[in-house]
Amino acid sequence: MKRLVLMFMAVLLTGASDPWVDAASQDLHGYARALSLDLRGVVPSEAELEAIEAAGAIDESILDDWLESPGFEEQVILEHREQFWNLLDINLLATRRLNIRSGTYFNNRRARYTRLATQTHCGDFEATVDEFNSPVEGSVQINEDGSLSEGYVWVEPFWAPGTTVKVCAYDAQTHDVTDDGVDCSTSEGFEEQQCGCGPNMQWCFDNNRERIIETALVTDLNERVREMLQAGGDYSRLFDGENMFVNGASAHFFRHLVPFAEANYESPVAIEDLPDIPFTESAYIAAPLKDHHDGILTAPGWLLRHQTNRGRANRFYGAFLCAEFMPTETALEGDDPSVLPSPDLQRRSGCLDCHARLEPWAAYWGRWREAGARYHSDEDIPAFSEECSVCAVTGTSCPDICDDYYVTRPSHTDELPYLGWASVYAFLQDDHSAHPDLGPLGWVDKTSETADFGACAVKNASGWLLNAAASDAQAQEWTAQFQVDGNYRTLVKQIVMSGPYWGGE
Amino acid sequence: MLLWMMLACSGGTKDVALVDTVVPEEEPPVLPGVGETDWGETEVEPSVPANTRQLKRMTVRQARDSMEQISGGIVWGGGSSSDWNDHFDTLGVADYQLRVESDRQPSVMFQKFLDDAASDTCRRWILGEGSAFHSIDDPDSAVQADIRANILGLRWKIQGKARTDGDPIIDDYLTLYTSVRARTDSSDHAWGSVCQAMFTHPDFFMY
Repeated sequence: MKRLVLMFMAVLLTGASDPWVDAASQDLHGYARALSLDLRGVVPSEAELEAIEAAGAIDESILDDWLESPGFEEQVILEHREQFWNLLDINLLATRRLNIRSGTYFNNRRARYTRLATQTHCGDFEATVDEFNSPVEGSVQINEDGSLSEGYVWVEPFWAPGTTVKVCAYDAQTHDVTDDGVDCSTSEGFEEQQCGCGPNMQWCFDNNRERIIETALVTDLNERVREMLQAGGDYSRLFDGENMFVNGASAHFFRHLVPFAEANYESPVAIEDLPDIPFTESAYIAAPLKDHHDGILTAPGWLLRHQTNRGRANRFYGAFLCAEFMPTETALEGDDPSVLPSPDLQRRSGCLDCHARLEPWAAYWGRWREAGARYHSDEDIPAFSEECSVCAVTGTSCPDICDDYYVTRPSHTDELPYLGWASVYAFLQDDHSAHPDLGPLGWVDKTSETADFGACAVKNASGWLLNAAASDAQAQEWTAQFQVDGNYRTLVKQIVMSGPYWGGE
Repeated sequence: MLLWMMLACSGGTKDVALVDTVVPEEEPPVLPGVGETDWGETEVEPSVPANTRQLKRMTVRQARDSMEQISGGIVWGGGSSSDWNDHFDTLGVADYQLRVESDRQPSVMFQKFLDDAASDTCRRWILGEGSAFHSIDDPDSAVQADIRANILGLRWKIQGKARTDGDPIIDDYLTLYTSVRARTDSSDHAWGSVCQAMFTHPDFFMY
């Protein structure tokens, strides 16, 4: 039976022997406790302690078991939540939000089209409706201000099968298409009185369901960390993994709600690959990502938590390169107020200290919607648009897509060379113009070529486990090993078996 | 002094004149100046940065889960969800929105809630049916050797320390036990106090 090689050198070198000063000098019991808490988040069980006492050491097999345990996965997930800042509390989709008044659900955003005025109460009476929950002619009450009150119907909502809730009849309508052929399952039906929330209210949600969906998007990131460990610990899998993890809530969101905001969202998984599970299914299922995804860095949970491309780049820079943007002392000195500042932040004094690097890095997310989670392919948004260029140069009216995504209305002479170019390509120098098409994985690949990425992974892991910075020599040794195998579990094992973690007593 | 007090309380002003008065010196004595360098130099903290593992406080989750495991599954508060979970924000657990880094200081707030959790957990652990709280056959035993053995067992369970006698803190726990038992005439109360003391000691929550 192979036992851990206990290193006494650290204690000898530092001369530290007080466990309150140097926890690495604790006895075997202290080591077992620290190891178990760090790796599993809980103290050793009585049986485990007895086994360790009987053996007089922690067998490597015990350590391996702990490193393979679900508890270890949870600890690594928690450590990575600190890197991701993983939480969502946003307004996902305002147009499909249900409010509740007097115990009745209604969509106030659409009330001006259904009841002809916002905040109109649909009434405390049961509606007379047809098989689509549409109020029958003559059953709708006309109020003094001209607004309509149609009454409510009882609906079995998708979030609570087997129960019923009161819903204003117009909002409970189940038409797929209107009499005029408008699709009610997309944003096209927003202004249509005949469109409602669909069968079982599947096209709408309230605040509680929004929280559940957001939790599902957050948990996807956690599950990708778990998958990385369960697949062996190859850290690169976080960035090039081919799956996301969906439960009933997120599958419902992608299938039924995303079509109402296609400018902002897309399903990261082809609809036919989404699991056909009810909203209430809480288990997370792996589903294959579309080709253009780059692991966690394009996960909805990441994109929606860090809503701007600069914010996305900044978090990656801090979390995975252990660096931060710091201007020099003189950097923020003011410009000449009589000169219109350049919109190119890479050149604007006061900004360039950070933005000379940040702008090209933010461009790695250039094909991802800001304040959203949608990918724009080269077909959707070509880097250069002749049509947008023409309207920009001639000053004629531009299509919405040009105004939304292209440089068309220059406010500074620095923008003139980029008229007709997609905004994300503007001001990018040299090979930086390739960044939007490389995607964030391009940045990961570039940093992986240097020791920066590995050194940061080591710094994060050793900071977590040692609660101190590793010595330069030790950090270099761990980094060199991580550069070779890129295995996160092996890195953790190296650290907890090292002298700096426990010198042995 | 007594004479002075008697005179002071007598109310007569003329009597005060009988007391010797202290005449201040014309000029106060010049004290020797003390420069900063005269204090000498001493190294308060080691200047070498620590590169070895440093003690850290348990996270709130670790404290919650460890207490539950040690006590055989007792959840603080007795509900389906631990009361620890209700205090995440107060205890500085990162929510990644307003706070992106968890507070790991052994703060007064942490110790207050740890004390509450320990109080509840210890009470129910001791009184629980089939509880494995005690390491001795007779929990009410007043025999010092039994009490000492139980303390060692409890310390092993709660703080993960070796079951070897000799550490001075064992005597402190013994003193705590005997004093509480003497005042309350209840071994349960006495063991509850020892249990709570062990959970709230840094030997439990620092590692």
